[in-house]
Amino acid sequence: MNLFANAVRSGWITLLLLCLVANATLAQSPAKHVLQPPQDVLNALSHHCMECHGNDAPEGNFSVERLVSDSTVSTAPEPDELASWLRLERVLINGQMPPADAKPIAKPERATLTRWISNAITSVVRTQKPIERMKLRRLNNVEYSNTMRDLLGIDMDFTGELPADSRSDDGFVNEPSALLISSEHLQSYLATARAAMDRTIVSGPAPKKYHHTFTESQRDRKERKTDLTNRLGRNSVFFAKIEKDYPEQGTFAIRVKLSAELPAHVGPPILQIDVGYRPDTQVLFRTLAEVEIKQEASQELEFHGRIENFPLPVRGQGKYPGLQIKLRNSHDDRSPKPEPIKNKQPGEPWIFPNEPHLPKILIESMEFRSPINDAWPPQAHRAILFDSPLRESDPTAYAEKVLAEFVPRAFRRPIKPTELNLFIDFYKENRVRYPDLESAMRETLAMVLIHPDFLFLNKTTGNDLQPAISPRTLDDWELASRLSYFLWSTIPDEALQTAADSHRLHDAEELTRQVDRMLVDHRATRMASQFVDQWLCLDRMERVAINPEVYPKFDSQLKRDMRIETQKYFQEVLDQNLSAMQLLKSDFAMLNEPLARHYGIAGVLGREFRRVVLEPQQHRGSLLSQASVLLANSTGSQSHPIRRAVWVRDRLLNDPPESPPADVPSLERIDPNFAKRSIREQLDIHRDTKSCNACHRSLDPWGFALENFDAVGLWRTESVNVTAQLPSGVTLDGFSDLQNHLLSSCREQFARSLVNRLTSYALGRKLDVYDRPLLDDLCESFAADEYRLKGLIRSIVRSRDFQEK
Amino acid sequence: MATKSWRLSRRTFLMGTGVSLGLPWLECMADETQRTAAAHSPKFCAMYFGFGVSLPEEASDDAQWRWFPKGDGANYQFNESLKPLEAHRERLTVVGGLSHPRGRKMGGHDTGDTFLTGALMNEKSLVNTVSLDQVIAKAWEGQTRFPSLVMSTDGGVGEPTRSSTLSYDLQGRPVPALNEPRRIFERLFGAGDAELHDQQRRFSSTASMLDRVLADASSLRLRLGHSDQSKLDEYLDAVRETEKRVANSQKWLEIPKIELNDDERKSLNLDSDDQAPFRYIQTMYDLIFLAFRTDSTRVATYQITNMADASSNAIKFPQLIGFSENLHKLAHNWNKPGGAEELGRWDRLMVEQFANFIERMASAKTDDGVSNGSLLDETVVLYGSSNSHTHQNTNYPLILAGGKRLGLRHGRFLRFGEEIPLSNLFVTALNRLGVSRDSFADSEGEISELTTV
Repeated sequence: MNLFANAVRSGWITLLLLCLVANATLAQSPAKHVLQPPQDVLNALSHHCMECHGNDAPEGNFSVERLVSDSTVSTAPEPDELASWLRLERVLINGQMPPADAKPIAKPERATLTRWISNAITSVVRTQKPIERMKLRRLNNVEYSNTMRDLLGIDMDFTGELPADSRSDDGFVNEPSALLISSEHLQSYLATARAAMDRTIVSGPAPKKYHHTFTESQRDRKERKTDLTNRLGRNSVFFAKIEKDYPEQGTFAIRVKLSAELPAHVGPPILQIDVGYRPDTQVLFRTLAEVEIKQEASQELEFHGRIENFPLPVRGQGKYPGLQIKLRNSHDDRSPKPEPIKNKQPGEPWIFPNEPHLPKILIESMEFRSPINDAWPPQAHRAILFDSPLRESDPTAYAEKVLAEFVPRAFRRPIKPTELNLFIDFYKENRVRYPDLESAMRETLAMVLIHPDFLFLNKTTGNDLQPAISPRTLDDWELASRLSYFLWSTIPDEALQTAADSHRLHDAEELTRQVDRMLVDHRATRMASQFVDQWLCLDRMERVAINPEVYPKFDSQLKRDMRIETQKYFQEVLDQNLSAMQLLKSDFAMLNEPLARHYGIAGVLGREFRRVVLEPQQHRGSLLSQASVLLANSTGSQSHPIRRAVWVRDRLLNDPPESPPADVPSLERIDPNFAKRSIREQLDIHRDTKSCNACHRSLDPWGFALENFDAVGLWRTESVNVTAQLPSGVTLDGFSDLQNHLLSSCREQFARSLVNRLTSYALGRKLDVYDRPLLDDLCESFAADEYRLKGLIRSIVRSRDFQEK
Repeated sequence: MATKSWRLSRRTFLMGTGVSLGLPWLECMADETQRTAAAHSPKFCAMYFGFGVSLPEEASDDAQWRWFPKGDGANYQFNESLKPLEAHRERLTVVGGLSHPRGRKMGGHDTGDTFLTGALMNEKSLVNTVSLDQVIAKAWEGQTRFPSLVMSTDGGVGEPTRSSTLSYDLQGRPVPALNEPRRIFERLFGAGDAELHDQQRRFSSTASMLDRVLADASSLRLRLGHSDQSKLDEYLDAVRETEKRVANSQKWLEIPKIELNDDERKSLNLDSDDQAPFRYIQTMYDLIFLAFRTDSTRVATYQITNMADASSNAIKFPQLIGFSENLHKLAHNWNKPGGAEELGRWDRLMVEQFANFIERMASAKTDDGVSNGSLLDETVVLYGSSNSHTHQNTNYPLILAGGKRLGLRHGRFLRFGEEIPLSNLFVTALNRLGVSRDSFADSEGEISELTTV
């Protein structure tokens, strides 16, 4: 879920507290613990809390008096007391209580209270070990797609038919309860498995070869308003059409021979290859590739795809037959486009201005080839249906051998011979039904791919005949899977499998070696990008429409770059093994040309993201100043200080504000002109209203400090009031103060929040009170290691929680 | 179900005559199920939008932007928001005052999940119950190629209390909604596998495959802990449901899909997405119409917008067409100066889309030589929200349209008291549709006013 839905859901916080305790199944029978506060704590509670929160009609129905008088805390099955202590701890830590109009509580006294409560809670939960915490869940769509690709060695759209995944209430896409499996899913899995098998396993002779070469762009009489040419500027297209002689299935290559004109001080041209098209569904083209051309000299580039992944015409139907290939130059500096001039010769194409300041691509030739020269049968086929003399001598034994190789890889564990019977029997039945071994095998392997052992993670293995009574240490293969889905979102690779096979993974050194190896692999970018996306709720950007009246020049393509910026930034901190504090403040940004242009940073040419060293006056170099975050928490017309504040409090500090009360008073009654005032003025009125003030005085300042940035994340040049005081008395005067405040006063809180979220991502569940000891340990080593992410990831992997079911 | 060899396949017949569509079914082409399908068959669809409507007081300056009409009974007058429906007055009833009593105990933005279910979802239990459409789909199982068409702008299922589907199965689990027009089109009207023989072989293979997986997975169940068991149950139910669907598809295998005519194809904007709201919404309505027209299914739901706010793609719809605020803010502003008109204009645009749908349904004649009727006359159409104005879970703005042939009476604005649960209307709808039920969720009877003048 997202925090706004969260924030408006009345009573949600209380609910969470109850759930997190209530949902834990404990290994031992419920124990009673005595939480007897020492005298100084009792005195402080009685002095500061009980006037309102005594037994007699307590405010908010929360009696501190009852809590301390009945000092027995049972962890289960009646967890209310523990939840109450947690709540008390929370309001004391975040300063929400005592309220502003009550006797203030001195800092040391508050610290004494929270320290004691915190230790007491931890001591209770340390004695209890919940079980079944690592719950059965299906692969999410990203994991499913990666798994299919890596298992089969082919690429296709594996998730197009699948319903979108839901998120957990903390924004993550790996929580079991949020990952529903329905008939809709199962049908999609089956259809996808079959489609994948049709592509992976071939039968019959090698398909017909197709080969076409084009040296001149074709003309199209209907398309006079497009510049069809070999010399590509931003308005032109190299157009090629193959009317009949093209394949319906299989791999293809497009090879382009080209040179370029690269004027100084602009980025390189971008070759974009579109293949299509299917007029009857109006989904015309799909882009095969987009690549920057950085040298002027002639070169040849080759791109591969599968023809069935592209919208193709239905043969014999429609007015526009044929496979079409379009090469474009998608470089655009966003300068106004000159109008084409109508040609005086009737029927001739229009004349297009040259625009010499822009880079050009010169197409020398374009070649279409299918299938890609690969042995027949293709590699992916042979990886499953391997060569063996057995195939001829004893086809059934061969099929069994094929399954004995494939199933363990798909299930990510060794399997017993008896388990294989399920598939062998089905294969034999199919072998009668289907004409050849290949088709019977396709169907059998599709069955493997809808089996729960393939679709689900954290599955109990065949050995657990009894329901668990205590946490169980994962075996080597389970650990290998957990590791690969955490860091790579896919199945273990061969090296990891080998380590599991030889039972080395539980060796701490070996495990660390594997983690380090995996982190430098390109697949580790999946962890960074998915984690960052979910942690920071970047998907919310897609739900903010930028108002064209306010931002007429905004290009919605930029949103993609903004999202990548944030992912790359995290990746850079991880890869370079920098302190995680650099997420809050650094001297660099990860930028490409369009984004740098948006920010007004000169000298960044080309689409590729790279590290750009910043000057302080450029106001970047922090998650907080990234357009992704700022735009996601704006209205599309204006910045939205409250949303930004909630984002900082929830996502960065893991201290989300409570939901607004149900009976929000109408502020018009207080000020009839309310709606006409600026957001800042509205919020001032807001905070003067008592029922709002309790939360907003500690919330709004976080957002005001970011008022330096407008709705699309640009630094405001006009003067704007960015000053506000936190309840602690600290005054934040804009972005830079906020950065420094976070680094100095909230360092530990930010670190703990990050540890919490990353651990939550790794374990696939929201952390609860029973995870305090784990969090304490992780935070301690994180701080000792100067907040390096690699070290944190290693510690998470080494923790018992990661290695237990 | 095997088709006897002397029966003509419909396609063979059509190819022989050179006539494309609109032929009456011939007895020799139809078995028992198809005969039912060929005759007038009742249909049901429900459309939903989140956050309620603009409801300024009847005496206020903004009264013309009040969603509910002026007056009541047959002599009511539309205000601005519903004016696009003027031409269809006799085809619909505006219903006021109804709501789900259990919904009144839920959070202001939490009731989207229960619009068609009437369940109680709160801190104690976030579990839903079966939705009206799925009760109907279950009762009619096997009569059409697809049991139901479940769509939403966001797709998938969303999260409890922030659902992105209107439909819940018999176990109360959400049915994932489809949201990509092209994929919905492919599913309904796509060509499918080429060879009949291949398809048949695949169907029998699927049945055996699912059977075996089911048996194997079931044996695993006892070894799991409690929470893992319920997750596996989800899987096992999915397998069982898929078995049924496969059996049903197999039955339909030899009956060619009814093809669309050129105009219908051309009018579809299958590339539309949530960047162009009304083009998209229109396409989704078109798909419901075409699914009904071709009798591909008789049950459809479409959640146009919802109340998931920051996690909904539909939240930005008003901004994309020039409103200054997103849907949530627009809805919250209804009682601010100028807000009633602003939200009212949005309400009206939404109603325009709905009116187009009604128009299209009413124009599709189902002349079978016995009676003169339209697709609309045999379809019960429900349009509405589970908020009156934002946060208020009472007095749902509702329009009940169509179903004349099924006994619904229209042309009025019926105002009911809060004591009548919306589920009563659902029971009436079920019985009109021929799905006999005494009760649904918390119903206390039927609403006789809907069927009598």
